[in-house]
Amino acid sequence: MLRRRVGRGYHWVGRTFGWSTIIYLVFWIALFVVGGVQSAAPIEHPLPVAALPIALDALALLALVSVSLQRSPPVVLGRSHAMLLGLSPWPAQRVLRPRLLGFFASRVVVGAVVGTAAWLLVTILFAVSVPALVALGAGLWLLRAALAMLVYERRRVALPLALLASALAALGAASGALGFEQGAAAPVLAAVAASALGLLAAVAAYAYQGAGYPAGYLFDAMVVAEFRASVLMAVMTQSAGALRRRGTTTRTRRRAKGRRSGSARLRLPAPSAEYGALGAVAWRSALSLLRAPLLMKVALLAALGYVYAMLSAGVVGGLPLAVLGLAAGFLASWLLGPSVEPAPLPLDPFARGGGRVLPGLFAAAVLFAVFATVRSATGGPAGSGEAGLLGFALVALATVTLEKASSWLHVSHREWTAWGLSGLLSGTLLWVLSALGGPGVITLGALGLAFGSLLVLP
Amino acid sequence: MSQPTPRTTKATDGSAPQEGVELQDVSVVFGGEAVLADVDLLLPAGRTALLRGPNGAGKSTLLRAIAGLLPFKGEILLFGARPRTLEGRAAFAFVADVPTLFEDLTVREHAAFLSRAYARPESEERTLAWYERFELAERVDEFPGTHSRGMRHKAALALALGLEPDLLLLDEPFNTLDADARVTLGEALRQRAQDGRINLLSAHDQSLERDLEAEVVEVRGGHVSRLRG
Repeated sequence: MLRRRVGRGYHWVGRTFGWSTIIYLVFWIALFVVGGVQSAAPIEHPLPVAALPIALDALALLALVSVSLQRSPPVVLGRSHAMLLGLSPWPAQRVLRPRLLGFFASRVVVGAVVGTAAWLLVTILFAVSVPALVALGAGLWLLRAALAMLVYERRRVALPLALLASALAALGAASGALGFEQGAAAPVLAAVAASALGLLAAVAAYAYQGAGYPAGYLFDAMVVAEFRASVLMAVMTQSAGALRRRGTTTRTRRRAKGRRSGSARLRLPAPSAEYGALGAVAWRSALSLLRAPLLMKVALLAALGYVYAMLSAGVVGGLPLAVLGLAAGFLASWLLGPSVEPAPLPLDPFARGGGRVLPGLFAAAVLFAVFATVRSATGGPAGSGEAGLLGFALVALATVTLEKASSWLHVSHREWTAWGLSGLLSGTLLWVLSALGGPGVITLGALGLAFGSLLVLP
Repeated sequence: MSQPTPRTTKATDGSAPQEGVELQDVSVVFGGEAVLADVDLLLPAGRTALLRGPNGAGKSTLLRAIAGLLPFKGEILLFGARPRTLEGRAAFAFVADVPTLFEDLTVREHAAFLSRAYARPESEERTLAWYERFELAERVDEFPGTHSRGMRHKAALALALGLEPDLLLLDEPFNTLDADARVTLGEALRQRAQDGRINLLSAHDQSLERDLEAEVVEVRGGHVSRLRG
């Protein structure tokens, strides 16, 4: 069956596009990519190489952790699979083999593309060439795809595999700096290990197709296929202006909040009435932060740690700081309390803005203080506290500008328009501040701008 | 049936009344087309006014304009304050036909949040009492997203009644309520009017005019006329 499918696909591609055309295009694309990477000029002041493994490992861990957020089956099947699984004498593995091979192959290609982009970025930002990132990306994406299947089916093998991958990432963080400086041994080893783990997980995922037949995801996968078709129809209708997307989204969010088990049990006592509207909004923001999904809290912690690690590694001034300010915008969108619009509440701008901003900033301040304490206790450099203060100032500025942007534009702070305006504002302000002086000036300036605008701006 | 005679609703001396709601030459334009045109309306304290008219006549638009949720031309004064000012916003509570609730707060937390946001701490207990009267007491520790449309409406009404605002704006409040809740809301609105507060609501039910002892304000083709009361 597999041979027949492959043969049919081969002839279809040949007839539709022509194999010589495809080979020609692939050749030139590969040539452009390699040429682009080789001609990529590093920036004038490259980032410290020591920060590279931390950044890569954080991204790899996020990619793996995000697997557990997935609520839909990773593989989508069609009606032909349903017919074959239900009526043909073939075992499930044989029926699903072509689809699974296609699924895993596509993930390897996506991973390789991501790895290539990372290779290019690393060459520009860190002034080191690490071609092994292509293989690392492919291996990681394969591992991610296989883990997604195993996690969705609640297979016990998923946990050991995820732990192995996490240990691999941690090992990379510990030995990465050394490896990069001594001829890129660590990334090559990491690429080999990620690929081997990915293959192992893919084989396990395939083997389980027969062991636990019918796997739970099969039914979901077919339902999703039908659902996707109806979503496509809905999207087409929406683009014709016949449906109101906002209403649909609101309903979906409302249901999702109600369904999340146990979140209503997480409570905070309401503040005393003497704190007024500011206390009320701050209480609501703190509740929202408390009730955020656990994985989101972990991601928030990791992102704060990343900002601190980059700053304590010495990334201050110029373009990198502006980019870091934009990255702080991501943090801000999760630290900021929920919007109070469109309810016409009698809230003055300070009560609204301060209430939305302060609980998240309080949490960020505590975490930065913990990072600085841990770093100085483990023999870090003398400037650990300054890096923490600078990090807090960046996050404060990003959070306040996001609050102002979302209020001025009358949109949610998760909307891209609010993000864009906030990024533009905080990036410009940080660029100006970095032109005026060093980290001390930036810290004081950013804190002053953030809290000053909370008090003054509408 | 004889056609009731429209009577002028504008303040005769031209001054803005401080004890009620006044609309002067209010127009709302959507896409170049006037949904409401030159509306004049005066509602003194202690009244219940019933907005009536066909679908699409502009009843909800009028309520939203008074709540400051829509841009308008002309002048709207709520007890002497404009609707978008803090004083104006503190003067009223608005319950839309699809009520806006905070989906991240439980129903009980809504009472705590709004009592503090409106600086009326005593209203929290009152709202909890209204939850009981609307038979929501057993579900107050749940998120409103898990509730039916009718229950959401009851929660929003309980919150608005608990705040005891001088002006209550309700957009078709009886539509989704069960029989007991309709009686409870009717009693509450009558009591509010007796206490000198203003209720302005839209509804299609003919019997409400008598039940609520309300004045009828006809909205038709973007124009408003007070018919009887």
